[in-house]
Amino acid sequence: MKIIAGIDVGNSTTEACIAKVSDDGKIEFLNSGIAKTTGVKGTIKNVEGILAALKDAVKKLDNLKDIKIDLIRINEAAPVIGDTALETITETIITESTMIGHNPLTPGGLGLGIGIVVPLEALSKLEKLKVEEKYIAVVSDTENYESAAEIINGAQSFGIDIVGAIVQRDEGVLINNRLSKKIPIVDEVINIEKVPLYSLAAVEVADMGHSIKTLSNPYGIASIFSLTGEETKQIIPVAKSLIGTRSAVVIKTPKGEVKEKTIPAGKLYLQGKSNSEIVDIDQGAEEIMSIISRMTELEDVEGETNTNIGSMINNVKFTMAEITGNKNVNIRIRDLLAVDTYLPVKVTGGLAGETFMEKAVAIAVMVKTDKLPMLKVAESLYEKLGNKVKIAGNEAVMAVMGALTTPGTKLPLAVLDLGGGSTDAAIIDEKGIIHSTHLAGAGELVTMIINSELDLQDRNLAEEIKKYPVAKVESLFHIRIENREIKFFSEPLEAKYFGRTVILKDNELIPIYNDVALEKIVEIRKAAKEKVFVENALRALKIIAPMNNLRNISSIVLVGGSALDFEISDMIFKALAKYKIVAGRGNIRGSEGPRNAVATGLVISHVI
Amino acid sequence: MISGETMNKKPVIAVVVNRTADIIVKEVLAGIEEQGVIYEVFIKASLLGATDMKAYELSQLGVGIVINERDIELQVEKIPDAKPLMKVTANCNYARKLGTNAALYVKGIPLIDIKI
Repeated sequence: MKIIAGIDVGNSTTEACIAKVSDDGKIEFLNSGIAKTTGVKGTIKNVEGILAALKDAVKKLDNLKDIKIDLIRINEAAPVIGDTALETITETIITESTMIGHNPLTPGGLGLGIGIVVPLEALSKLEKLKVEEKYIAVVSDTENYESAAEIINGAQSFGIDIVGAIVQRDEGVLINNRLSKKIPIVDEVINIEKVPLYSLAAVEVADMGHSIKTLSNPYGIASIFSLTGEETKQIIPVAKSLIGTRSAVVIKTPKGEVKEKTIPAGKLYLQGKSNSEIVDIDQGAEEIMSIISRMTELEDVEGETNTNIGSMINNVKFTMAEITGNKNVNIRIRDLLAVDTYLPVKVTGGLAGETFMEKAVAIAVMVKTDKLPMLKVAESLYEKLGNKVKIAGNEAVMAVMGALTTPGTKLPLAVLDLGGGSTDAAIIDEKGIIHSTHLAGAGELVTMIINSELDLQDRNLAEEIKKYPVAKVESLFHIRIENREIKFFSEPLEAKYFGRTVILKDNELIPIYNDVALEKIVEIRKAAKEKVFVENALRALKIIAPMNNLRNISSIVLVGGSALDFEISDMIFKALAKYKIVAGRGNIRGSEGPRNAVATGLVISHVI
Repeated sequence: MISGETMNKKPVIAVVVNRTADIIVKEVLAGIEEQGVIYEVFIKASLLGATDMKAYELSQLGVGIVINERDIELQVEKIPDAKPLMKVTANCNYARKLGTNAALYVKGIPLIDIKI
């Protein structure tokens, strides 16, 4: 009787499966364990994670504290390693503080005011001012609201026409309430010192619940500043970014420039088995993916030298070469997934911290190396533990064996393994022959897209948003979850949660401090999962399906960490529904759900 | 004599002043006004028989502020007797922000961090 442990090292998680195997081949599964993968999959650093996963499996067995493992079977880790990158393909440059579009919560007044920008002191001293001119007052934080209102009222009484104001403090309403003539006021302008004095400007504030109509319209801006057709074209990014705001300021500066230019993001050189293609990154993800799908089999990908994509791909290959102790030339990219997305980029020259959403392409690549890196891992494990370690067979075969322990499955069977770094698929027919494929793009790419589209700048927060639903704290005693259900609390919530969007993680509330609507978070989260997992599920299944036709697959089992996600499986089932395939989440050994397929398969394969 | 039952409650934030009216009081009121919410000021001394009343009981919105010599409290109906929702030292900066938070609470918008 032996104790066998199966170890599956994945891109994100390492899983263990421990079982008692009798001499006549009967298997009694004892327990499973899980830990975060340490280091890049296939390198010695993985050992730490493997030990953690084993410890996790063993500690749950209370009557076998000193369990002695006779043999550790570790997966071959089909030497595929994934990496991701994000590249902007447009860049908007605004110089010389041309606009203010931060949309403060409480602007003052209402309407559109067009005039020359002057500092408050000029209004109090009445210097350099003309009665026939219109003016916009600039109020820095050295002035309080009372004196500012007094000075503006004073100037008005002398016949100076003030039609709007730009204020540094959050005092737009306070000032307007004290004015004899009401004017539109944009406040909370942090970098007020950058407002170009004595230029022509327009201040617009819409009514509560409405958005501005003139400054968000390029022809509106053209009318105010008498722009030529060419200048109007240039102003489009400004107008675009002001759509939907309740207040804004646009300033015509002599040197001011607004440019939206396309960065030559570079070309991708795709080398296939029988043909090769070149595609420009800025043609977008759809074009890139359709070209890739037309190629028989991708053998390698290179990026154009001296472009962003070129250096990104070089970096990936270089990193992989270093980590796996290989030479650069031996690193080949076997798959690439491109996804259209956008990245909020701070506007240089913005007066209040505005950002623009720049178009970007997110790319995940799958790198294949010649050497078998798991040998080093096995050796290191043996040194540390003293147990026999054997590198067992192909990962795809193990996944299928494990998946077949799901009650209700039979051959032929397709397995979709949704992981952190790759989306893998394998199909086993009645004769036991297996075809498999590994595609770039999985959980980690989804997290990256969520992080960038919501401008979180916090990978951990993006990960939590990916995994859990969100809710709005509507009162101190209840929250409204995204599916409209309400959850009540017996004790009042802390003030810091009030009114916020929170992540509902088990019984914990994680507040999101970024100013983003709940609906937008849900929309972006779902879209990211569709763009990566549904896309890759269909791609992978088409590759392994008999005659590349999905209708030839009768049943599919979903396994892997990302199959546990609360939405992804359902999204995939929905996409597969029209093919009339029996698809479902695996339930390994009838108890583990979609996890532990490969680790279980490793144990089973020992007996076969 | 004013008592809770006979008082006409209005949809305002009730601001109970328990110190000499000064710049601190003005800052609290400015914070509320900027948010577009209405307030009503009550001088503690003139509340006579209603001295045991909580500030929020004077407000139909169930939100009240008590401005004392040393500190300022934001009280809300939903958390009775026990703790105020927020309590800060009475200085100009905190006073303005507490007034703002009282109004944000009424509007159902996330509160700002006062310590910043």
